[in-house]
Amino acid sequence: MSNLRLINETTATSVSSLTINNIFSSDFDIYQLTIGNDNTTNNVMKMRLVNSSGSAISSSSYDYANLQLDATTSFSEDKNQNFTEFRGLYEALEGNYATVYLFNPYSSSSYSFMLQQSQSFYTTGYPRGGKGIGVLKKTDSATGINIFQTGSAFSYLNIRTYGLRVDS
Amino acid sequence: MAGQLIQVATETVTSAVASVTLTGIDSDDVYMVAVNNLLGSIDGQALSTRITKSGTPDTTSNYDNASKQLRADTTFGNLSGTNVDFLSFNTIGNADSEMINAIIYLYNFNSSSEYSFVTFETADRNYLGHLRGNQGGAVHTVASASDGIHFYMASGNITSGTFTLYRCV
Repeated sequence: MSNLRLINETTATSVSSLTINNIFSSDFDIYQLTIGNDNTTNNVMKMRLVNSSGSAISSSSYDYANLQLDATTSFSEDKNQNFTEFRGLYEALEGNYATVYLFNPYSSSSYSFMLQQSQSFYTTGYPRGGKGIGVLKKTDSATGINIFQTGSAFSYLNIRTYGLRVDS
Repeated sequence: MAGQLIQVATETVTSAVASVTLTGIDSDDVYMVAVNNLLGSIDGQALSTRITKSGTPDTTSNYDNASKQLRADTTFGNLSGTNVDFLSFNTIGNADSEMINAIIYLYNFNSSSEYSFVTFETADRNYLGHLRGNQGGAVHTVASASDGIHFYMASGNITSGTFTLYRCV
């Protein structure tokens, strides 16, 4: 049996926010998320962790850093400290795909770390990739994620969540 | 069935050790290493890595590497080296929240006629609590079979962490 276990697959259309809860547990410390989406306009995908009551953790405790890889202009840095969400998961009218690793989201004793790689394609023939990192500087036990954007909607959003099993 | 990760080896550190070695690479598949919550005993020391030949870390000066250092607090940097005797990641702290997490892929390790290749992505917090990470790769420029990977701190011990080697099939 594979040690990469599919926990959940969720697909939504015409939403600006999607919460997927009860996907993190004591069974895993590391999770892989694959995200695919189309959008109604170019925008910024944002991500928060969600506690067991279903509320997004929105305190200013997120740090992230993303190398923005643009095919038609210079690469650039997108970073923030003490922010209210993870960013760097770009989305675009012609699609965006990302693989995210989350470490320790369910832990009540460790901060949650994030790795991500993404690739989007803007409608004007403008590919943009991202390689990024993040940390949520809280030891709240998170059980889910909230993916959202401001000012427009995802026309299509698919998220698969896998747990990376360690057998002792 | 494609798309599986099969666990090959794992080690969880709960008290200080000088190093961790994961072996068991014996096929031409790609392998992946997950490092979770690695902490060192001394503030400001870098996680360092070598590949193993028959279970023994290769200390020869045949490692080439380059990575982008992502930082949340200031301008990103570049890390690189050629003909060095190890692969180095960022320096980390030794407080509870200053650990490093990583996903590392290993290529061609089983080949006796090709170099061994590595790609890696890491996220960590340094001794000041600043978020950093490495996105990059490395090559061990020796055409001989490698069977694993060896982790140690530039100075001091590894005090905690879970290290797991998977085969990608």
